[in-house]
Amino acid sequence: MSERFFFPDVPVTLPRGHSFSRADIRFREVDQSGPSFEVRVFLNNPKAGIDTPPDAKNGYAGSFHIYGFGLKKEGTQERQRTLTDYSVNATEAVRSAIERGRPLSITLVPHYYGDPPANADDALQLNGVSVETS
Amino acid sequence: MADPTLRPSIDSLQQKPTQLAALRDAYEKMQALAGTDNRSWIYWAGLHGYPQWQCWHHSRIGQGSPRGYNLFLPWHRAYLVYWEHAMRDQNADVVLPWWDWTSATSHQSGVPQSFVTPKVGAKRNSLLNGPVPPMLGDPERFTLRFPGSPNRLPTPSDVDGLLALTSFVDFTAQLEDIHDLIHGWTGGRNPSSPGDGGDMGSVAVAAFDPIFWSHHCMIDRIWYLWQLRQGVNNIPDDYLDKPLAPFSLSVRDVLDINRLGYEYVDSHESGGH
Repeated sequence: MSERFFFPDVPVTLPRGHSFSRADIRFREVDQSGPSFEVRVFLNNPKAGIDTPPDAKNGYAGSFHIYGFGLKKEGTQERQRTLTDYSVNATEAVRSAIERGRPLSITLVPHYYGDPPANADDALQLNGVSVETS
Repeated sequence: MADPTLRPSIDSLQQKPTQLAALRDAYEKMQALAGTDNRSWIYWAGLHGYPQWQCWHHSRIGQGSPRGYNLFLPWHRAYLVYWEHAMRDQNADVVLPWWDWTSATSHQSGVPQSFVTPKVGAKRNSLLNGPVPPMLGDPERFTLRFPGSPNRLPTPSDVDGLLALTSFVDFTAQLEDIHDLIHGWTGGRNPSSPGDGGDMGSVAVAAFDPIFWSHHCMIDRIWYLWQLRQGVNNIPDDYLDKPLAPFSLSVRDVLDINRLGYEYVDSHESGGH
């Protein structure tokens, strides 16, 4: 697991009464300028890695897919225009994690497509993670 | 008004060799034209990524909208309409087929056989790959694919889940995620150079691969099926007048596919959606 993609103490703003019907994990300013890959999202599982089965027992909350621009150039303008926000609707996983006690941690496992999938730590760049409930 | 064009599934074209031959013929003729010709494969595919960069993916903020908005579905619907016109310029009988990546056939074999066969008789199969213009110092070449394992493809129940969503914003975000997965899966990873993937996995060059058009036809069909359930005009009001540049259409213009002159054949693939 890369420490770059372990987010401890992710704040969760709960509605009054602490009950919510929906929880989304938001990923801010994800860089799309490079290759395509998938990012698996695990809650309260700092050791999650490429071999961790994506199931509830391991805190798996879902995944999102980056459809990369395939640009190899490092021009600032090119990179800037390919920053995008992503979200994963993870209502049940967040509810389950909160019930087991906070703080909430999030581990991201980026991997390239293929069998077996290959580590894509080099491809993922983002500027923050948050959890929003409603 | 003329009868709408009926877009079929790729698998159904196996039973209709004349339509499959028309598709191959149209693509072969477009691919043979020089990139400077505005009827060519390179011209139309080049609108998406390199060199014209017109495509829409995920939310953007701007153009007077205080929150992000996403024209992914309307923009690609307009793009397919123009593409279909360009195809028909080359062969008046051609129709654009969809690739149902949830079908039992796809879950067994992956990319449809008609897009994998290297040759048709003595001729190159124009559905196998398409020409990519010289770019960023690389010479002109043909597209490549390294697709993943078919068991990683979305299932019919994944699509059912999308069709049950009532909010356009949720629907388009979740459908786009599946779209992104198919691009990455189809491009895949080059086993002899793991840092490089196939062209479908790159926004810059995906549209030069012939399977791109049938993948997007499936995406458009799923939006159409969703509209049948959740309402043709079910889209935020502030989207309606957004232009879909470079096409002379706005979002409002592309909501009803019958007004655009096409329909989807009412059929489901075996085990698919």
